[in-house]
Amino acid sequence: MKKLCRDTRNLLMSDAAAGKLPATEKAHFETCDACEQWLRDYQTLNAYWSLAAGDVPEESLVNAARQNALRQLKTENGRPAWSLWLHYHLSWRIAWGVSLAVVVFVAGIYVGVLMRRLPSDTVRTAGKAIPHWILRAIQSDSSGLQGNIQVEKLGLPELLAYLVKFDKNAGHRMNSVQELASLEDDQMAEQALIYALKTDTNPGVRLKAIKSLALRPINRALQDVYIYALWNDENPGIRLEAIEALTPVASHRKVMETLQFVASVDKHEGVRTLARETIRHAEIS
Amino acid sequence: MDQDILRKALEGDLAAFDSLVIDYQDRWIRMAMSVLGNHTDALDAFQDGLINLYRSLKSFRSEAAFTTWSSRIMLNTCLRHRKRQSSRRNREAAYGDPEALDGVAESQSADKDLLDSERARALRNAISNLPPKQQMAVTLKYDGQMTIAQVAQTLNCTTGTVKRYLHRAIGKLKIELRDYFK
Repeated sequence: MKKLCRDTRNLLMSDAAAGKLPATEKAHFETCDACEQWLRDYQTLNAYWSLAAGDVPEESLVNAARQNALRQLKTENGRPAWSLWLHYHLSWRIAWGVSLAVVVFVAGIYVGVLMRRLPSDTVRTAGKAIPHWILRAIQSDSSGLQGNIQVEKLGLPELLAYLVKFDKNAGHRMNSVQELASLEDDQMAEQALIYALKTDTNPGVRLKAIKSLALRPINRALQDVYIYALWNDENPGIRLEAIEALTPVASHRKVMETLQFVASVDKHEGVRTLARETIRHAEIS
Repeated sequence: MDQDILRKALEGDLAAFDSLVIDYQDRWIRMAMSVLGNHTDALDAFQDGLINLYRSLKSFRSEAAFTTWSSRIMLNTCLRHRKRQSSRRNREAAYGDPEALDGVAESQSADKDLLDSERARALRNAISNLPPKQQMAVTLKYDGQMTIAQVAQTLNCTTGTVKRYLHRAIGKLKIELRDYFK
C-alpha cells in the first residue's frame, strides 16, 4: 500500500471524522479509487455498528444484573478473606468428597450384602437368555463385580439396574437403559430408569432414560420425575423431552404451574417455546 | 469521573461503586454483546464482570486510567464466558440435540426492521469470528468507545499495532459481510 494511502487511512481511524480531515488527506480520498472505496466500506461498517449498538438487552435487565452483582458483593463484604477463599475454592470439593464417600459406603454395603447372598462364582451362561454385552459388562472392571455373580440367580431387570447404578462405563449404562426400555411392565426397570434420569452424570444416558420412560403410560412417579428433570437438568434436550412427556397431563395444576414457570425463565429459547405451546394446547383442549 | 466517588469505591463503598458503574454500564454491555452475541450470555458476563471488577479494586493503581483498567477486566470476563459458551455448545452438539445449537444471537427488539436486525446480527457473528486481538481492538474501539491510545493501553501494545489490528479487522469484516455491502 502506498504511504499516502496508509497514512490517510490511519488518520481517519484516529478518531477524526471524515469531514474533519486536513485538506491534503481529504483531497486524497477524492483522487484515489482504492481509498475512496475503503472509506465507503468503513462508513458502511460504522452504520452497521450503529445498528448493532442498538441490539442490547433492555435497560431494566442490565440494571437488574447490576443489582444482582451488588447483592452478591454485599453478602461477601465483611467475611474474612480465608472464609471467602474456602467458599469459592474448596466448598464444592468438600461437598463432592463427602457425597462420594457416602456413595462409596452405600455401594460397598450393597455389594457386600449381594455377595454374601450369592456364592462367589464365575459367570454362567447356561439356561439364561442374557445378552452377551451384559455378561461382558459384568465381567469388566468398570462394573466393580469382576464376574463374581451368578446370573441365573438374578433376573434381567436386577442385572440391568445394577449396571445402571454402579457401572463406571457410560456405554454400559447407556445399553442398560436401552434394554430396560423393553421391560415395559417391570417396576424395577422403571425405578432404575428413574434413577438414571435423576442421577446419571452422562447426559446421553439421561436422555435415553427419559425417552425410555416416555414410552410408558404416565403415572404419579413419572410425572414427578419429569417435573424434577424440568427444574434441574442442565441439558435442554432432556428438558424438551420432559415437556413432551408431560403433555398428556399438562392440565394438572402442578404440571401447569411448572410449565408456566419454565415458559418464562428457562434459559433455552426452544424449551420456553415448547412450554408455551404445551400450555396453549392444554388450555384449548 | 468524580475522584471522590472513585476513592470511596476503592475503599470498598458499594454505593460509590454502584455510582461508578452506572456511567460505564452501557459500553460494557455493548462490549459483552460484541463478544458473546446474545443477551442472556452478555448479561451473565456483565454481572460476573462487575463482581470481578469490585474484587480487583485493591489492585487498581491510581496512575492507570480507570476506563482502560476496568474495560480490560470486563473484556477478560467476557472472553472467559465465550470459552465456556463454546465448550457448552460442543457438548450439546455431541448429544445430538440440534435445538441446543440454535439461538446464539437473539434480538429482543421485535419491532426492529428485519433487514437492520439481520445486518446487526451478521456483524456480531462476523466480529465473533475475528482473531482474538483484532476482536478485542474492534470491541474496545467501537463498543467501548475508546480512543486508539486507550485501546493500546488496554491491550498493552503500541498505537501502530492497534491500527494494524483495526485495518485487518475491517478487511475481514468486509469480506464476511460482502453480501450486505452490495
